[in-house]
Order: sequence, then C-alpha cells, then structure tokens
Amino acid sequence: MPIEGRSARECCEEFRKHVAQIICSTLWRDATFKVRPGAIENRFALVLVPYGTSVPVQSPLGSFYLSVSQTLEAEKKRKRQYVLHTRQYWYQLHGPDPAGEPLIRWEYDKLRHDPDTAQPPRNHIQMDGKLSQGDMEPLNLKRLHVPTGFVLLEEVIRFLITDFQVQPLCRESWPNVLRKGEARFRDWAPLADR
Amino acid sequence: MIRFLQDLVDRFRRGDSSKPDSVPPQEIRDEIDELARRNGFSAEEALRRLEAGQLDGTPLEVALRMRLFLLGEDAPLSSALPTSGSTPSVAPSRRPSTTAL
Repeated sequence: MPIEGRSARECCEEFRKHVAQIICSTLWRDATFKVRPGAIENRFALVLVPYGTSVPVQSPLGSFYLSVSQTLEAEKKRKRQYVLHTRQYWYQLHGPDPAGEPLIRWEYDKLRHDPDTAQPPRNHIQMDGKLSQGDMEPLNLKRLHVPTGFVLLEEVIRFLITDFQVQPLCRESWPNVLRKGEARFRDWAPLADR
Repeated sequence: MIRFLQDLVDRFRRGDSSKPDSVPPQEIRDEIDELARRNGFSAEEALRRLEAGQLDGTPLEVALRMRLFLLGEDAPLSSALPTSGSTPSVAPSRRPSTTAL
C-alpha cells in the first residue's frame, strides 16, 4: 500500500515524518526536515533545514557528514486521493568538510533514466577512489556509476553503524528501528514501483 | 471533523499554515542564479556544466538538479535561467557551504 493522502502535501508530510524519525532515532536528534514545494503542482523536495545542513556523523574513523535529499511527486489518482513517489534521491557521505566533494554517494534519478539512450544505471553508487589490478589503467570510482538496487536510507545508516562504528542514539535497539523503517517503506513502495 | 482539526493543529505546529503547495517559478530561477553565482558561474554556465557532467559529485549538482525538478522535468534549460532584474532569494546556510540547497 503506497503512501496515500487527501492532498499531495499530506503524502509528503507522512514521508517526511518517517525519514525524520529514522535519522533522529539513530544519528542526529536535532535533524529537521522540510517539505519544500516546487513550481509544478504536486512536486516537492525533502531537505534538511536550514538549507545546506548535513547530518553530523561521529565515528572512531573521524568526523563525517551525511547529506540527505530527495524529490517527491504525488500522483493524483482521483479527487482528494494522491499517491506518493520518490523521483530522485541523493545520499552523500562527506568527510570533515560537508561542502566538499563527497567520499561516497548513493544516487537514484528516475527522471533521467531513458532506456532508449545510453545512460548509466539509474540507481548507482560513486565514490572517491581508484581501482587497479596489474598494469591496467586505474578505474576512477568517482566517474563510474556502479549499479545498485534502490538504496534505502536505513541501509546507509546500517552501513555507518556497522562499518564506521557509529554509536546510534537509540543504542541496542537500532536493528529494530531500521528494520521497522525498511518494512514500512517496502510496504509503501513494492519493488516493482521503484 | 476531528481529523480536520488535528490537521490544522499539525500545520500550525509546523509553522506552515499559510504556505502554498507551489511556489512561483521565478523564485526557483532566482535560487539557481544565486547558487551559480556563489560558485563563480553565471546561471547559464552552471546549467551548461551540469548537462556536460562537469558538476558530477559536487553539492552544486544536487542543488541544481533538485531545482530543475521543482521547475518541471521537461523544462528546457533556458526556462530555468533567471530573468533580468530578479532578486536572489536563497536562505542563508548554517554552515559555510557554497551550494546550500
């Protein structure tokens, strides 16, 4: 059952609450998300406010910042019935400079994906680094669009907790918090709809 | 009726009771102009670089792509450009970011 509401904003607000709850429970209690309307009816951006804010991530490996942005579109099914879709997401993990180039970025852009043209996978990961074996020319991972599935924000947070040893605010209940969030999202957006 | 009242209370608490569900396109174009300027480009140059993939991985890329979406996915780049005499209207960033959304 996708997110449905009597107005486009109502759908977006439900999703905003979901994302805010996940971030505030695990990484940053003060995270504030806003649904920002577009010039086109029923189009919105989900952003952290104040604009440009990133989620501070403290790890034994150092200080990092996670930026989280999504665009959303509410499809009008009939009068006072809207269904929400994620059109784009950008999750970017930055080093100590949140305004610098990200170390890792998970991206999804449904709009730019035209199967009839040569375009990279719409769900992909890019990162700061190079791959090389033997005498081959090193592969620049910043330029490659390594394909992924639809990455949930919960997966990125799980990665930070397990691989970056970030201490989640909700302590030992974090697996449950993330699992519930993922289950809710999968209920809203079955695989075929992503 | 209870749900209606609860919605009103929720909206009031969010402080957006008077916010419309769309904004004038000019407001977004002005933001594109301001973002580009902060990064040392004209809006036209920033959008050209975006299309050429030269902004890949930069915070400016995300900020611009999001605004193009808010303007309309099929909006030609020229329509995203600010018109002369427009006033930039980007909210200040809390951190010293050059590409605050």
